[in-house]
Order: sequence, then C-alpha cells, then structure tokens
Amino acid sequence: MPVDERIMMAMTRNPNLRGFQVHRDLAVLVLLIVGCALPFLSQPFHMDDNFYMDMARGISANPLHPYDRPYDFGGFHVTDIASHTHPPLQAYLLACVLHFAGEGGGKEWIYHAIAIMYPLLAVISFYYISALFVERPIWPALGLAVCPLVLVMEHTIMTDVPTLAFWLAAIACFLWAVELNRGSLYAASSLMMLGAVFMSYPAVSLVPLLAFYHIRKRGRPAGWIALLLAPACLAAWLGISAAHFGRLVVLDTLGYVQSRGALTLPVLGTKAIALLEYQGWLIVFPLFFLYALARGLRGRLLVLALLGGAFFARIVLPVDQYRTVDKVVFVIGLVTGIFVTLRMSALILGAFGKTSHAAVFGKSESRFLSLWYFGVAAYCLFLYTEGSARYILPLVPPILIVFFRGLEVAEVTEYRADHPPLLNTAMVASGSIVLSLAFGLFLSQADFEFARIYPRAAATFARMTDGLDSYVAGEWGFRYYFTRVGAAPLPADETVMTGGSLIVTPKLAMPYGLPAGPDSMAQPLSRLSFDLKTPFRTMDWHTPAGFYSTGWGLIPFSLSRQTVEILQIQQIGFMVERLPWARVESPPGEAPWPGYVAGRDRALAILARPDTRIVYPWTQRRPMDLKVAIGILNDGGATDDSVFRFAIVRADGQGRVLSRYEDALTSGMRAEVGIWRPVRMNLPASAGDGDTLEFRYSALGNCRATGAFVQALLEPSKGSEVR
Amino acid sequence: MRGWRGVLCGLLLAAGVVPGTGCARARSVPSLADRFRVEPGTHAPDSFAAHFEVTRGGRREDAMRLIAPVSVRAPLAGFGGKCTLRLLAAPVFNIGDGVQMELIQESAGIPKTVYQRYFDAAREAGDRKWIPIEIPLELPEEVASVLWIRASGGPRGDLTADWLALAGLYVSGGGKTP
Repeated sequence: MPVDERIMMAMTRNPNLRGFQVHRDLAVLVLLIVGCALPFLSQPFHMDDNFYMDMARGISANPLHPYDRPYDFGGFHVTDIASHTHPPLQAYLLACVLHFAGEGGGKEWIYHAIAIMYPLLAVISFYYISALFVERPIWPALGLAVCPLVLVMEHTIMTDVPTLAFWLAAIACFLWAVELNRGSLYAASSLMMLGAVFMSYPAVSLVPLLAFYHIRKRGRPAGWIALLLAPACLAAWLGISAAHFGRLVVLDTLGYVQSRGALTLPVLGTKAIALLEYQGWLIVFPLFFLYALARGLRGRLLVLALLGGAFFARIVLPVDQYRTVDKVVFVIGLVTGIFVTLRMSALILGAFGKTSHAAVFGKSESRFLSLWYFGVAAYCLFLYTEGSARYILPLVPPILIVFFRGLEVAEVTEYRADHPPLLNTAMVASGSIVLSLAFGLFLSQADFEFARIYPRAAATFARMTDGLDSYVAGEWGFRYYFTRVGAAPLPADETVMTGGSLIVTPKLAMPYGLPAGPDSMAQPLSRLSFDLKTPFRTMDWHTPAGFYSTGWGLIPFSLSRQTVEILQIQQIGFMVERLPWARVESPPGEAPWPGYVAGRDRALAILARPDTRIVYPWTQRRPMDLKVAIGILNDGGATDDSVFRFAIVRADGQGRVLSRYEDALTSGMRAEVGIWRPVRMNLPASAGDGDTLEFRYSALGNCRATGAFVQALLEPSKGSEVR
Repeated sequence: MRGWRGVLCGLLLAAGVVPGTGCARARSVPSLADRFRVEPGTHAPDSFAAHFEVTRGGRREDAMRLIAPVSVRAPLAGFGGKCTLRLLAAPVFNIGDGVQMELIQESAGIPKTVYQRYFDAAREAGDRKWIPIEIPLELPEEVASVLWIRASGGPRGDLTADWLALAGLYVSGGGKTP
C-alpha cells in the first residue's frame, strides 16, 4: 500500500460513532432536512404520484393482489397492472396513510410529512457510510441533504427517494455489520434490503454489490443469509404473482422495456447524455465539480472541454429547440458530467489496475465505490426506457464520497503548498453545500409551482362544467386532480363517451391522442393556460427541460417566461354523436349528415336539406345553454329571393314546448349565405322520458340550399341545479 | 477467489443487459394486408396505408387504411377452390355521409363483385365498432386471381373523413397458407 494511502486510511478507521460530535452532526442534518422540506409540505401530488395513489386505493379493494385490477394509462387499457415497473411496497405504505388520513381537501401535507422519514433515513445512513470512507462524514451527508436532485424528489411520493433511503440504510447496516462483526446489524441490513427491492426491482443489484464487500472483508457467514433474504422474498412474491396471473409478470415488464427500444443506439445515446447532464447539474452545483476535477493543464483542460462540449452541442442538438441559454446549460452539464465520470473511471482503474494512482481510499473501498457507481450507471443505461434525473439517485452517494474525500486529500496538499489556491478546499466544501442548497431550492420551487397548476386547473374546470361527463387525456397530477373533481380517464371503449361529454387534453402532462371516432366529433370549447412566477423550468414544452424524462429534452432544467401548461377543453358534439339515436324526417335520399363547413376554421356542423326535422331524445337532468350557429351553405341552391327557416324546439314528453328559437334567413343579395348567425338558448332540464330537442330546417319555394347547424355546444346554465 | 470476484462484478455490471433477452411476440396470423398495392398515379399519395392503428369500440387493431376514392389490389396466388375471406371493417371517423366498400374478385380478367357494403358511422351506431365480415370465395385453381377493394364516397358525394379501416384480412381454406 502506498505511503499516502496508509496515511489517509489511518484517519478513517473506526470513528467513534457515539461521541458528541456525531450527535451534533446528526442534529444539524435532521434540522437541515426538515427545514428544507417544510416549505414544500403542501406540494400537490405530482408526476407519477397519481399512479401510486391509484395503486394505494386498489389495495383497499384487493389487499392480497393489489395489481389485479384493470387500468387505463396513456390511452391504453390493461386488464391488470402486475407487470408495471415497481413492486408494491410503496403502494402498501401509501394505502396505510390513505386508510387513516384519507385524501383530498389539501391533505397532501400529511403524505409529505410522513415521507420526510425517507430523506432522514437516507442522509443519516449515508453519514454512517461516509464515516468509513472520509474523515468528516458530515460533509458528504450535508452534500446529500442539499443535493438538488434529492431536494426536488423528496417532495413527491414516488418510489425514488424511498428506494434511496432503504438502499443506503441497507449498505450502512451491512458495512458496519462487517466492521463491528455484529449480527443485529446484518439483520437490520437484510430488512432494509427487503424494503429497497420491494420499492424498486433494480435495487436487487445491492446483493452482488454487498456480496463483493462481504467477500473482500471476509464477513461472517450470517452476512450471506442477510444478503439472500431479500432476493428470496422477491422471488417468492414473483412466484405467487405468476401463480395468480398465470404468467411471469416481470417478463412483460422487460418486454415493455424492450418494446420502447431501450437498447437501440439512439436511445442508449440519449440516456448516456442525459446521465452526464443529470450528474453534472443535479448532485453538486457544477462550479465546484469543475473547480475540483477539471483544473488540469493549468485550466486549459476545462477550456478545451467546454469548446469540445460546444462543438458536440452544435452537432447533436436540434437548432430550433435549443436556444442559446439551453445550449449553455447543456454544455456545462455535459462537461461537468464527463469530468465526474472520468473521476470515477480513474477510481475504478486505480482499484482494479496494477497501480493505484488515485489512492484516496483503500483498494477494497475504491472497488466497492466504483462498482456501486458503474453498476447503477449500467442499469440506468440498459434497464430503463429513457433518461430521468430520479433514476440516478442511487449513484449520487459514491460521487459525493469521492468528491469530499478528494477535498480532504487536497486539504493536506494545500497545507504544504507555497501558494494558496484561489478557492481553498474549505471554501469549495462549504461553497458547494451553500450553492447546491440554493440551486436545489430554486428547482424545488419551480417544481412546486409546476405541481400547483393542476389543482388550480381542476378547480376552474369544475366550476365551468358543473358535473358534465368529463374525461382526461393526460397523466401526472393533472389526472389526479381532474379525477378528484369527477373526470375519468379516457375509457377503453371510446363509444361510451356520449355527446356533450368534455375531454381535457394537456399540452405538457403526457397528452395522448383521442381515438379517431370521438376525435372527429370533438369541438373546441375552451382553453386554460398557466404561467409560473419562477423562470426555472423542470419540465416544459417551450424549452427542452427534461428533469423527469428525456422525452421532453436533454437538459435537467431550463429558463423561460412563457406559459408552461395549456389545457384544451373539447366537447363531443352532441348533435353529431347522438345522430344515430335521433328521429329524422327528411326528403327521400336527403338524410342530414355531419360534415365541415368552410370558414370558421372548418367547423363541424350538421348539414341538412330543406324540410328536415331532427328530433333528439333529451335526457339532460340539468338546465343547459345551447350555443350554435345557423346558416346556409354556398352550394348554389340559394337564389336572391330565397328564405330559409330554422327552428330549435325543446319539448316535453307530451309535446308541450318548453323553449323555442325560430329565425329566418334571407339570401337577399346573398349577403347571408356562408355567414353564420349565432344562437344561444336555454334548454330546461329533462323531467322524464319522452323529452325532446328538435332542429328544423326548411326553405320557401323550390330552393334546395343546404342548411347548417354549426358547432352546437352545451354548457350548464349558470346557477342551474340537477333535477 | 479471483473467479468469484469476476462473477460478482459481471453480475453487477450486466444487470442492464437482462432486457436484451427476446420477449417480442411474433405475429402469428398471416395477413393479406401486406399484399395490397394501390394502383400508382391514380390516387392521392396518402390514400392507402398497409398498417395504421385504429381503435373502434375499445378494440385497437393494426389495420389497412383506405381513403376514398381509392382502389387497391392484392394477388391471391396460393389460394384456390372454395375458401373464405375474413376481415374486420370499420369507418375510422364518425362524420361525413358514409363510405362505400366493394370487394371485387378478378379471375382470368373477369371482375365479379363478391361483397359490397355502405358504412355510415355518423348515422348508424353499429358502424362505430369493428364489423366482422366473412365472404365466401370460389377461386379457380388454374388461373391466378386478384382481389380488389374499392372505397368510394357516400350518397351526398361528401368525401369528408371517408377513411375505411380493414383489419385481420386473411383467407382460410382453399390452398396453401400464404
């Protein structure tokens, strides 16, 4: 072992973990984590939170097989969700909270308050792990507590931070079990590993990682039992699932990954770039990574790397999607990420090579950390369908240990140097914590504001629609809050969406297209747009900010002042959709039909020849306002003295007229041909069977011009009550 | 001990390679869709697509799409004698004045309409779902036959949204598997 390594190792052996300093450190960490979480406790459910809440609700219906339920997702319908990407632990934990606390009415804070236990467990565990690798474990632990990625993710109820927490707790217990030769810690590690693998399948990679450490450190045989418990339980659970569903559920999960082209070169390239971007921006504020890792050749290396990054950006980034600011974010993230990876590569080369040129750890420690990093990086690249910042959470800890250990070593060198550097190691360490915290809070605020869009939108929508049948064509918090106000996900059978139903499609929240049938009958009703106060964007459709998915862009954040979300509200035209059930009287061979009229952006209309009556059964149990335009097509049938009569009649089952609209259009000098006259009338609620809404079109004389009822929309009458 | 180390490192690093194992399901039903060709130069360029996802009545199908007016033809080489043409048909949209479909069997240059139907999803609720169709064919053994499918507009001549989807076209009986 080289002299330097022996010196450094001596300082990191067997720290006193019960001393006052440890208690003080832990108190600081707890206060910091709670302090960072408190402002965001009220964050609405966001991104895939909705999915886990749906699963938690499913548990109360079928506690033993919570995945045995049909589900509509992304416009697709599945008969069960057993093959989705996560085991059920988080759903069970959320089901417990749901059982006792319920949901809605701003109860999100309860879920987030309980979820603070995960960052606490993660950071405290990481403190104990770091104590085996660095002299002052408080620094890496602080680094994890203020890591921008952790700060953003800890305000969600997805599985990522819980997985990290169980992952780190399993490692901490196992490493200290080996160190102290204590059976209870092996047992605790086993339990934590169980938590990790039932949160997320890739956490199974903990087993070979810890097995490696176990072998290197010649741990007790009890360690093997601890290692095998989690995979054995997971295998048992998969076996039970296979018996219940009649298939190996995880094979379908892998099939889904493969169907998304996860191993094709373009997708692998995208994920690799995203991995560099995320680790460049979201672990430690990049200035400090660059200062610590990229100072070779007297700073020229950094300049060369930035120039290379700029050249690469010019090649790979679409010019029209990436503005200059996006390119700057991209280049900084890429270069920083590359230097981080190079540092970890040096570690693995030193660890497994003949010579140890990066001797800041012992061989076993170096190998353990580098396997940890590259193992997680490998599954981020090969196992996931796309890049997402949250996927890289488990590779944050080894990077932080290596970074802060590097600072400790540099501190020794710095002490002996003739000229102090511009930023000494203490400044780099404390600066990296402070700026990472500030940057992380900015991003958290951006994500918080983004999440708040959807409950506001849902409340606005509920006031507008007053309980009309509604459907959502998007996911994330959008789906959660709109379903809370009565909307439903798009049904598998699109024919159940009847005329007058509303469909809300987001611009950002994973919109999916309507099936062609209802899409052809949909008419625009309204548009809601939402802005953020902060210029930071974690997800955006104007900019390539792709914090949660590379599907939106390659950079983890962007800056913008433009509208972040637009919700398009459409109504399925009831005149068109209900036409098969209407009683039609028209001249032979001239039945009315739905088509487009020119002008008015090709508006959808019911087109009819003169002497046509269309009588719709009227079943709406609340008073409605009908908005429609009437007019005549310029199809050559109108003469200068033509008169066209339009009537709309709302009648009850006995034929009594409850409301009526009547008008005559004269072509005159053809001034009114092709011009649409707006009509608005109140339609009383249906009192029972036999109520009708009738549309009549006739023409005086022999004129056969086509009449049109254009863009008929129904809106609940203001102040109406359901009968 | 060295061997163990290698195995463990390999396991860790190869975690991501697992999805590489083949999970794709082969399509097992031979379909006629890939045999059809549109006569070049006579129709709009997008009037025919051999594969197009269409959902009707909650059932998503990989369908052949025709935009009226268009005629497509498929050789029926390999089939002879009495056989049955099976398919699912549906208009793609619920608007317009409907679309007319004709199936014509041409053997030895003699065309014969074997099936025709008018689809009107705007006014017939039943036409808003996939409609299973079975057509008995009698194909002469000695000459090659051709199947034509013709889509044309409705009675009002309004070609708006006259898209017709045909899925799961296959011929059963009557010779070799295509």
